[in-house]
Amino acid sequence: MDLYQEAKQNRIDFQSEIDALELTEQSVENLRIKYLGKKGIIRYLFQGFSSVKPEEKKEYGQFVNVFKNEVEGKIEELQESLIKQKTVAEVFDHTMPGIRPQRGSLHPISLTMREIVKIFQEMGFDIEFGPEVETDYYNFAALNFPDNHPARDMQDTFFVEKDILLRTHTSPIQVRAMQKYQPPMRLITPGRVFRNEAVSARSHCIFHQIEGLYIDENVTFADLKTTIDIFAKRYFGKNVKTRFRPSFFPFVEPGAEVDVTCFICGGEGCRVCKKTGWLEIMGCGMVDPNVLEESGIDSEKYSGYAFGMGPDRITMLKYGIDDIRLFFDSDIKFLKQFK
Amino acid sequence: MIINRNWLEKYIDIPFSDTDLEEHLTYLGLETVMLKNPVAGLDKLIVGEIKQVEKHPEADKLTICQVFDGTEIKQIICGADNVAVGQKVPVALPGCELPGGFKIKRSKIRGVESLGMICAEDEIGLSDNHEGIMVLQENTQPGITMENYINSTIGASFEVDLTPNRPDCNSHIGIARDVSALTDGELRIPEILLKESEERTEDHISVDILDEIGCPRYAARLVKGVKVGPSPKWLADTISSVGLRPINNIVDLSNFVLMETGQPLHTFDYNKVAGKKIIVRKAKANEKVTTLDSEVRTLTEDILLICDAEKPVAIAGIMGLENSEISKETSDVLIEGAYFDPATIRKGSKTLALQTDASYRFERGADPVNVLFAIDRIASLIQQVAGGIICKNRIDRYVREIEFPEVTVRFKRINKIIGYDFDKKWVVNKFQRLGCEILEKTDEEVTVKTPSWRPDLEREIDYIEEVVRIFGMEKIPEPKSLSIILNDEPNKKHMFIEKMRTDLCGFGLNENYNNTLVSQDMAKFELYDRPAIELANPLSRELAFLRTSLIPGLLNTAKLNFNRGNFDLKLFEIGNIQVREEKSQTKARETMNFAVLMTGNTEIINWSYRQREANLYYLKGLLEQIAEDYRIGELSFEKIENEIFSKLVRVTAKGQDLCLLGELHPLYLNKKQGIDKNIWILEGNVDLLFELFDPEIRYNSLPKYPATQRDVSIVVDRSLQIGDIEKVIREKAGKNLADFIFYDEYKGENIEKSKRSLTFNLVFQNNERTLLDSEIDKVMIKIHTALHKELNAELR
Repeated sequence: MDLYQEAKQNRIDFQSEIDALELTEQSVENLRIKYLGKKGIIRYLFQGFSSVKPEEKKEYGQFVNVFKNEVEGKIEELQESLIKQKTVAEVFDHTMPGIRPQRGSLHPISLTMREIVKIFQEMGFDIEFGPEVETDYYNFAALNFPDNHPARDMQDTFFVEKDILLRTHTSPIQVRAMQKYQPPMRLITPGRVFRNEAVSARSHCIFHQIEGLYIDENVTFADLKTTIDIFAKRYFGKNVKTRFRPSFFPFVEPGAEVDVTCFICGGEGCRVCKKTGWLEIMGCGMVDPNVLEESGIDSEKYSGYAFGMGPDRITMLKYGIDDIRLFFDSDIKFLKQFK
Repeated sequence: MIINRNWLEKYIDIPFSDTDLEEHLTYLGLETVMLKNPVAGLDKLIVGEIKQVEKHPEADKLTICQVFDGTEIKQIICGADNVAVGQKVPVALPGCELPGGFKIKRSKIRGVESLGMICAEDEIGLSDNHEGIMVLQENTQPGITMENYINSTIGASFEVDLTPNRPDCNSHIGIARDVSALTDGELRIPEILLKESEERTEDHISVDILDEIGCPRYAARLVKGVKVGPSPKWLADTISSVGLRPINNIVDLSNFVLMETGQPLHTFDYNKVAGKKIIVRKAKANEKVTTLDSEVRTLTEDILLICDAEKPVAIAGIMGLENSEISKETSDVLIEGAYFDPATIRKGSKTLALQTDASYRFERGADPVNVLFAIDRIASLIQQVAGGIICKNRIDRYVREIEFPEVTVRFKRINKIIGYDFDKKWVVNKFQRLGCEILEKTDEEVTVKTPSWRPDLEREIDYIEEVVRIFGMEKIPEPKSLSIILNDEPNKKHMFIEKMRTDLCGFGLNENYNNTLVSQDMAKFELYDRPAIELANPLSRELAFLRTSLIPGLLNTAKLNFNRGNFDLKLFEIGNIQVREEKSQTKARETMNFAVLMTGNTEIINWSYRQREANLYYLKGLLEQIAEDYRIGELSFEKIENEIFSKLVRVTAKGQDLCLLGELHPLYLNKKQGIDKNIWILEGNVDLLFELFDPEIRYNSLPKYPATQRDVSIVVDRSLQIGDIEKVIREKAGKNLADFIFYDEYKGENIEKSKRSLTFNLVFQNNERTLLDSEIDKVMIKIHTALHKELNAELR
C-alpha cells in the first residue's frame, strides 16, 4: 500500500474512531496525540511526501492538508464539547457561604480621632504630640492655673511626685508648641490624658483629648465660632447647629462651652441629650494673654484661640455606647464592629 | 446652687418665662437647669375652702368639715385641731393617691361619711411638718391644683452650676445683678432698717486677729434678748424653696442672708463665748474640736480657728462648734461676718475633707466689703423675726485691706479680640450695670474700678469677656471665610503612626487600647524588668504604676476574651510606655511602642480549607512584610533566652533593637496568668521604626529577559538551620539568583528520624540577557556540591 492509499485509509479510520469515541478528556487527548502529536499520523504523512509518486504529489498534498484541517477541526470541536459537558455537569450550591478576606479593625476612638483630625487638617491645622508624664509647669502653671486655685479641683490629678504628674489635658502640648514655634501657628493635639477619677460606666481614669490652637495677628472670637461651627457641621452633619455659652477655663478668656443640636433626636429632646436638645461637645476660648506671655508671645501683637474635646465621649454619643469601660477592656466582638 | 424665681424677683424684674430665664442665665455663663417640682403628684391634689366646721358626734378629736372644691361642697372628716372656717387647704379627693402610696377612698368614719382628706404638709411630701393641716394663702382660688398653687406661691426653682470664677453668683443678688446687666432693669438692694439700742457692742465683745493673712477682716454685731424658735412661714418657705431645711429662726436667717448676699455668716450663742473675746488664730497641731455635726475633728496648723478667751468656738469659714451653738435657750446672738483668705479656707477644707456652703464660698472669694451689709441685714432681720435689741455699732477689724484693681479697657481692643464692633455707650452702660464704678471715659477707652464682689475682673481681657458675655456669644456674627496657614511639612510621625494602624488592620489585626495604669506586677513585666514609675496618689493598687510594656495589657485582654469564649485573637496596640529614668525632667523615658498578640486560629472557620493555628512564623512574617513595605533594610534575627518565653527572638535593624517576638512559656501562662492556651507576642518600638522608615518608593524597571526556575531538594540533619542553607546557596548561586523560596519541609516516613527533607525554589534572572540552561546547570552543580560537602546534605 502506497502512502496515498495509507492516507486514505487513515482518514476512514479517523472517521470511525470519532464515531466510536467515548467522550473523555483522556480519549480526546489520545486521539490528538495519535493524529496531531510529534510522532502522529499527520506528521508522518507530511514527512512521507517525498516518497509519493511525482504525478500524485499535488493531489496527495491537497488531500493531506484537507485531512489535517479536518482532524484539527474535529478535535477542537471535541475539546469544546468536553468543556461544555464539564461546566454543565459541575454542581454548585450558590447558598454556601463565601470565603471572606480577613480584615482587622481600628479602635473606635482611633476611628473618631482620625475623622476629627482629618477635618482640622483640611482647615490647615497640623498635628503635635507631647509626653503623657508632664511637669506641673506645662500642665498647670504655664496655663494660668494659680497655685491653690479651685480650678485644680476640677482636674483631680495623678502625681508621680511633687511637680511631676500625668497630664490632665493635652494643653501642655500647646504650651510646648508655643515655646518651640513662632506665630503664626495652627495645630491640634490628639492624645491620652489622665484624671484621678474612680472608674465607672460614665467616667474613666484614662481618656483622650483633641485640642486645637491657632495663634496669629488678628485672630478673633468670631473666627473661633466659624471654625467650630464648620467642624461640627462636617463631623455631625450639615444640619447641626452650634451654640456658645460663656464658661470658665483658666487658660482662655473669654471662655466658652460649645453645644451642638442633638444629632440623635435632631434637637427635639431625647434620653441622650437629657431632653435638652443639645449635647455639650467641647470647651474653647481666646488664649489668655498670661498664657501667651508665659510662652514668650507678645499678647498685644498676637491673639489666638484654643479648643478641646473628648473623642471618648463623642464616640460614645455617636455609636450609642453606654459604658466607657468597653473601650479599655475590650471584647473582640466589640472591637470588630468598628470597620 | 439652687435659686428661686420669686426670691430673685425681690431684687430684679424678670421679663421672661421660667424656661426663658433658664436659657438666658445659661447664655450668661451661669449654667442653669430648672428643677422639677420636688413633689410628684401635686397635680392630683386640689385647693379647697373650708365653709363649715362642726364637732363629730362620736369622737372628740374629729371635726366634720364642709369643704368647697371649686365646684361643689364636700363633707370631709378631719382630725387636726388647727382646722377653721375660711381656711384654704390642700384636699385629696377619693381616687387620689398620696405620695406615700396611700389611696384616698370614700369612707365612713365612726358612722359619718367622709369624701376625701384634708392634708398636712408631710402627707403630701412638702416637708416633715405634721403640726396640723397645711393652711394655704388666703387669696387662693379653690379648685386649682396644688401644683399650680406651689408654682405660683413659691415660684420655680433652678439649679445653677457655677464656674469657680463667679463667687458673686452664689447669691440671689449676684444673679439678679447679671440679669440687670442683660435686661437693663433696676437692681433692688434691700434697705436695712436698723434700730440700735444705746448699749454698745464694744462693751460686750472685742476681736483680736492673730493671723492677718488668714483673716483680713472680721466684723461682728450683737443682738440681745432674742427669742429662738421656729421661723415664720415666709422665712421657712423661702429657704425651703432653695432646698434648705428650716431649723430655727436664727439659723434660718443666716441661711437666708447667705443665699441672698452670698456672704457666709456665723451666729454664736454669746453667753457661751467666754471672756467677751473673739480671737482668730491658727489651730495647734492635733488640737481636737467637736463641730456642729457632732464629729470630733483633729486639726492641723493649717486650719484657722475662731476662739473665745478660753477655747475654740468655730473652724473659721468652715463650720461652727457645738459648744457655742444657738439653741432654744439662747437669748443673745453674736453675729460674725468675716472675709477669710480663700487659700487658707481651701487648705483647711481639704485637710478636714469637709466642704460646707460657707467654705465653698470663702475659698472662691467672698466679698470683703459687703460683709458689713450682710451683718447689718441679718441683725435687722433677727430683730424683726426673733425680737431683741441690736447693740450700738459694729465691731469691724479690717486688718489687711483687699485692693480692687482699676482697669482700662480699650474699645478697639474689645473689637480686635472678639471680631465685632461694639457700641461704646452700650459697653460703658453694661459695666455700670455690673456694678463697676466708671473712673474715666474717653472716645478710646474706659477706666473702671472693679467691684468688691468680682475677684475675677482683674485685667482688660476679663472685661472683654464681660462684654461678649452680656452681649451674647450667640449674637456675634461668624465670618464666612478664614485665613489658612500654609504648612509645607505636615507631621510625618503622625502620618506614620496612622499608616501603621491602617497596615496592621490590613493584616487582619484588631486594634485594642489598654490602660496605661497597671499593677506593680504588670509594670515589672519579667521580659524586660524595666524600672517602673509609681503614682503617689493611685486610685487603687491595681492602677498604681505606669506600664513599661504593652504586653501585660494585651494578655489581660486575651484573658478577658478567653473567659467569654473568644479564643481566636489577633490584637494589636500602639501606645506609649513609660520607664523610670532619674535624669529626665519628668523622671520618665517615654517611648511609643507597638505590640501584637496572636492566639488560636489565624483564619475564621470556614468550609473550604482547614484553619491554621497561629505560630511564631506568622509574627515573623508580619514583621518581614513591614520591613519590606517600609523599606527599613535587612532585619537580623537572633534567638535569645528568657524564662517566661519558650521561644524568643530578638530582631535588629541597622544594629538597633527593633523588637522581640516569641511564644510565651506555657508554665508562665499557666502559673502566673492562669491561661491554658498558646500565646505569641511581638513588641517593638514605633519611634525606631519611624526613624528607619523610608517613605520614598523607588521604581525598578521590569525584567526584560525571562527567568529560569530550579528546585533543590535535600535531606539534612534536623539541627541544620534554613538560614545556614540559604547562606550556602546564595553564595554559590551568585548574582543571577533573583529569588530564593523555601517552600516545603517534610519529616516522617521514608526519612531518618534525625533528618528533614527540604525543598527550595531558586529563580535565576539576568537583566541584560537570557541565561543559558547550561550555565544554570553549572551553578546548580556547584550548589549541590557545596550543600553536600559543607552541610552534609543528601540530594533527593
